[in-house]
This record gives sequence, structure tokens and C-alpha cells, in this order.
Amino acid sequence: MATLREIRRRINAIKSTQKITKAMKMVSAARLRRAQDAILKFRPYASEIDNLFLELFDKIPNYAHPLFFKRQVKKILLLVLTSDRGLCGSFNSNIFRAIEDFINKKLKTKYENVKVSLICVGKKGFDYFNKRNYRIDQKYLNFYADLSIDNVRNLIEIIKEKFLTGEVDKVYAVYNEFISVISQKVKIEELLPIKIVRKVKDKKNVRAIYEFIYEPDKEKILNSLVPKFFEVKTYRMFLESYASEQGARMTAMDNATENAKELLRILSLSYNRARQAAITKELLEIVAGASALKEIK
Amino acid sequence: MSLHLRIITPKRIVFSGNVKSVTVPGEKGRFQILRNHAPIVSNLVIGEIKIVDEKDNTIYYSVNGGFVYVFKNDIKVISDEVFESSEIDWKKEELELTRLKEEIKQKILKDDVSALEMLVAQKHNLIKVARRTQI
Repeated sequence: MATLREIRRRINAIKSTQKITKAMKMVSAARLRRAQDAILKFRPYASEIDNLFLELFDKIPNYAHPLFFKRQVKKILLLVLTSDRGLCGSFNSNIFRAIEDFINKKLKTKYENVKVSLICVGKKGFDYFNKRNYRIDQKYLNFYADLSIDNVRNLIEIIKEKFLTGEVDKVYAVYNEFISVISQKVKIEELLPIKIVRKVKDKKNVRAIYEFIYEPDKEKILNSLVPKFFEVKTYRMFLESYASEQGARMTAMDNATENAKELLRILSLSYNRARQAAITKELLEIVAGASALKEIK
Repeated sequence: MSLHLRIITPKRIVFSGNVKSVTVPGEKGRFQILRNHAPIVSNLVIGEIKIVDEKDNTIYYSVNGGFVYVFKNDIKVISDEVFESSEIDWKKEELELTRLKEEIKQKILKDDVSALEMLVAQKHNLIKVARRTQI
């Protein structure tokens, strides 16, 4: 049986670990709240851009824009959103697995001799894929510290540029979708070329009946809406991924704290047992000693 | 039915309320929207939004491009950046402006400066709008 001192040392170690996991959980909870707040504040803008875009898009049957062009696929770019730090459960490893499956089972069979390169946002993703010799075009570390749209816009411009200049023919994004605080889902989404499912004509849509004035004209408005639409779509992923990361970490740390609690319960039980055993042993020795003395008398 | 206006940016809803009139910088020129305006969608350019609210207060905002959507006395201004005149720190913007002009001077011969020139136009506009209520 372990000695008393040994058990006490382990109890202390677990207690301090528990303090750390508890603190990390609190930090994540606060960050999660902020992340959810950002999503909420972004939502009106996003839905206005989406609505306006789809409404105009429906009114121009043969609309074309460079960001819509399909080309023969020779180079594919993956935008990979992972976290900078670990201790967030399977948040990152789910992404890794999904990407490897996606490249090997889907892309390589669908397109022959396709070259795949990555843009890694987050240290974990960069470390993982760099070690495995994937082609990494760009890496962004500590990107999530400033998730304002002005900061993300630069990255969005780079991706757009790569597509427009023909450097890549298809762009996918891989990220964790925020479903709830305790659940995230890996999503692989085609970013470019933009694919839009035309809505089935809705007869109840009153706006369709009214004649709108367009200044300067429908096409020009749509031309300036397309980049915004793309921006909204991409920016939303960053917000979702960040919220998911905080959610995942919060859950992981909560589990760790619970596990520590359980361990402490078991350890303090054996600590008390060991202590009681020591006391009993001492008592036995005294009693035995006393009775031995009696016999001598 | 009153005229309702919302100014929406990615970061927040800057303005939401009933107004008497709104003047916006459309791509084909500034225009004023009053009650019962015809449905219109227009691109916006860098410029100034002027609002007259129900108590006849005039409020100025700087706007950095975007869109305006008017339908049935409901106006939506959708833009990346909108600032109210009084919240603009024009001293800071002027410093930025001189710095940008310096940068353009140095780069104009070898680089594309159109992005920088765009920023200069934005700064000019911010300062102009700030002067409406400050100084």
C-alpha cells in the first residue's frame, strides 16, 4: 500500500491541476460569450447582404462574374481553420482526419494529378500538416487574437486574388461549425467558384411584383455585391470556428475538472484508509506491549 | 405610416429608428429619401449620410460605400463602415492623412497606389463629416 506521504503528494498535485482546468474553463466560457456576441452582431448585416444578393441574382437570368467561373481543376486550395492552442478535445484532430480523408479519398480520385495546397490559420493545423509535408501556401498564427472583419478581409482578398489570377482553380474551406456549446461539426465547404442554387420562384414574394429603381443598374449593383457576399460567407466561418474552439475547450476542461474531482474522491478514501490502518497498527502495538508487560509481572 | 431607417454594419446596427428624411451618396449622385419613396436599390459611394429625425435633429454619418435599399417606407443602409460625425477623431485622421500622402509620394513611381488613394479619399471624407459637428 502507498505510504501516507505519497498519497498526500498526489492529492496536492491533482488539486492544483484541477485549479488550472477550472480557470481555463472560466476563460473559455468568457471568450465563448464574446464569440457568440460577435456572431449575433454580424447576423443582421450577413442576412441583408445575402437577401439582397439573392434577390438581384434572381432578376438577372444570365448573370456571370469571374468568381463564378468553373475551370478545369488542376490546383486546389484548402483553407484550414484550426486553433492556435491545444487542450480543446478533438477540435483539431477531427479537422485533420476530415482533411486527409477528403484529399485522399475524394479529391485525388475525382481529379487526376491534382495539386493540393493549404492555407493554415492556426498553429495546430500548420504544425500537423507541415510535419507531414503538405504544401502550405500560407500560414497565419495567432490570427484569432483579432477577428475583426478588417483583419480577416486581408486574408479573404488573398484567396480571391489566387482564384482570379488562375493560381488555383477551386477553393474549399474546412472548419468546425458551431452547433451548440457542447457540439461542433467539421464542415467542408466549397468557397470558390461560388455556387448558387437558384430559388424556386416564390409567388408570395411581394417584392418580386414591385418595379424597383436600380442605380446605376442591376448588373453593376450585383457586381459590387458579389465580393461582399463572398466576404460574408468566409468571415462567418472564422466566427463559427472561433466559437467552436472555445466551446470545445470549455467542455474539455469541464470534463477534466470532473475527472479530477473523481480522482480526488478515490484518493482521499485510500488516504483515510491508510491513516486509519496506521493508527490501528500503532494501537495494536501499544496494547500488545502492555499485555506482554502484564504477563512478565 | 412613418419612415423607418436602419443603418447596418458588420459590427453593429449603427442606427435604427423613425426619420423624416435621409440623404445618401448614391453612385449616380446624392439623393434624398422622403416618405413614400419609390422602391429603389442603389450602390453607395464614399460620402455623407444626412438624417433628419422625427424631432427635426440633423445627424451626420460618414459612409464608406455600400448599398441602400428602400421598400415601402423601410430604408436599409448596408455598409462596411459608418461613423457618426461626433465620434470621429479628426485629429487622428488628419495625422493619418499626412502619413498616407507621404507614403504615396514615395511609392508612386514603382508601385500601384490605387489602394492608398482610396484610403486618402476615405480620410478626407471622415474629416469632412467630422467638421459638421466638431470645431
